[in-house]
Amino acid sequence: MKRFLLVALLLANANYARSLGVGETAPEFELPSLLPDREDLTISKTRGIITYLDFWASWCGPCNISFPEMIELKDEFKNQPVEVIAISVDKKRELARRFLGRHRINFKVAIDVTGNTAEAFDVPGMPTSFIIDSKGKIYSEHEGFRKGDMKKIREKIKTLLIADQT
Amino acid sequence: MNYLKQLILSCATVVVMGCETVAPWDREVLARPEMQLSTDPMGDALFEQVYLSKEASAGGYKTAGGGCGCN
Amino acid sequence: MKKIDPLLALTTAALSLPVFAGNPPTEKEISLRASSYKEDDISKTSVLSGSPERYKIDKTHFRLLTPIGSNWSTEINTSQEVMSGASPWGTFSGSDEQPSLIMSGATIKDKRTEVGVSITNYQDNASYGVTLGTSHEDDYKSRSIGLSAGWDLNNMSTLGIGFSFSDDDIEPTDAKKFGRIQQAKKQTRSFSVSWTQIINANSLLFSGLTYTNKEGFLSDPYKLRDTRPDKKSEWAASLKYRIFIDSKNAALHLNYRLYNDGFGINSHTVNAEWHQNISLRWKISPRIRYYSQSQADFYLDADDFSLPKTVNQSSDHRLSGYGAITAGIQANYELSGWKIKVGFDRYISDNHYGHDSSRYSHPALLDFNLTSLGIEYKF
Repeated sequence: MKRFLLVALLLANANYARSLGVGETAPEFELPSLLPDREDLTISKTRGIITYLDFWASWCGPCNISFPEMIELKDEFKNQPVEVIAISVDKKRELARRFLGRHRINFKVAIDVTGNTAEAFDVPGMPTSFIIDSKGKIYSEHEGFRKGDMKKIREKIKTLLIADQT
Repeated sequence: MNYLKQLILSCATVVVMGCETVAPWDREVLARPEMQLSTDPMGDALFEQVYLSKEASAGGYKTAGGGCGCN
Repeated sequence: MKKIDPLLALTTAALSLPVFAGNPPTEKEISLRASSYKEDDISKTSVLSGSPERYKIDKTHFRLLTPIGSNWSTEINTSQEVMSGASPWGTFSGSDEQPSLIMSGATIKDKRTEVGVSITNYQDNASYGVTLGTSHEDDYKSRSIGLSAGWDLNNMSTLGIGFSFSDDDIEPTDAKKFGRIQQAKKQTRSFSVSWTQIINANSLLFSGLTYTNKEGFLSDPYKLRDTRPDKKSEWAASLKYRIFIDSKNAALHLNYRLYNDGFGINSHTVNAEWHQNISLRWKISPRIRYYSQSQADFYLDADDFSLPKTVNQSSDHRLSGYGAITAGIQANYELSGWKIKVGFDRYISDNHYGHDSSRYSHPALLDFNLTSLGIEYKF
């Protein structure tokens, strides 16, 4: 039993090293849009505005909760310098498209088939969202999504908006 | 039961050594319903109940143990 | 005794957790399942007296799973079973030494009602659950509590622990008329630990160990002569392997269980399921199971009435050495939140199938059919 616990402890400590953190510059990316008639997405285009960047997947359970709230978020800040971008990490486009079909998407959606962008952001779980400030720096990171989480995210975006205005 | 513990331990070691870190964005297959430990909780409950009452063995198939009222 | 402790069925809830402990359900789920269990009649040549007609159980099971707020979920299970049939009272040696049965004469009818409620709390990388359950029959009442916890470690594995306790009252019917024990008690405590490990993007392995301790009346009150120890400890170790085969668009499930108890029974259980995706809506899952057990230390081919009642003995077929094979198939159809499941399984048992079988094949060894129809809705 002792040895079993030992193995358990070893495994528990084998966390893979996290490199990207709050305060660092968000990595550059250029990804194809998942929605028809939309241009490719690059992070440099969102310099100067606050970006809510969400990594999601069609097979991610909590993404069913986060999507309707992201639609509300986009709606709430539509007249302010806030962009909402969702990046799917699906390997199959049709799975991602089927998921999008269940929602009335009002924000930008890109797809990262290779997972390279998710890797660059060191995404720890599904979904993970980042708030990127107007200077392109990561202001906060949020792993997972449960009811009520958007309240905290909204507060952070408001704080950033106020900071940008002063 | 020592033999059993040894067996489990060896298996655990082999499995752990042979594991690859799977990135969170590479888990579509693992998230599939047919890849869960239990794909049909009600069906499992039915079978476990039948086998529990019709055979001598019990337990081991779930996280939180169980008992048997049959023999 | 045909009685079933609800504990197992209830705590199965803990097993249905996703691979990761810290993920609460995101949708409500309502399910209804009707099933029919029917044992084949016993060969008339093996029955000395009584009815050769065996058990038939019709079960209806309702389940509700719902998230509550952001960090909780609850699961409610209720089921009702209607049983009828005859059961073996004793085993005797015939002229050719082959054991023969005395069966209960009239058909026994009984109804069982089971209710279980569990509540689970989800932290970032952990979950904690409590399950309360009761089961009620004319001659058997059971109350149980189960505690379970799971921790996600390093994103690649989950550690689970569980404890459960059940307190049962046995009150055999017609106890005075047949000189059966009038009242008895039984308590069960069970501890388990499990480890689920992701091996790669297409496979994972669960290993579990369960220790169970039973105390109280463990004999069968309906048999003419059946005396078992009043304590029993059980060990079960299990492995469950899941692998997805891309080229076939199917998942293979392999389970193995090793079991050993204080009655001297050891058993092996292997089962395999093939979950084939036919289309987005259709899924077909053929399955096969092999089971083999050795006999209990005090198992006798035929009841020995010359022994004092205090000496352990039982001729229960479930304590004999034998093997069994189950083969079955399940079909699932899914459409916008609705799911329909139809399953059929055939079970056959014989002492020739076992790895360490008893000398004679017990005439009460079972063959049965199990059919089920389920409907589920997620919203």
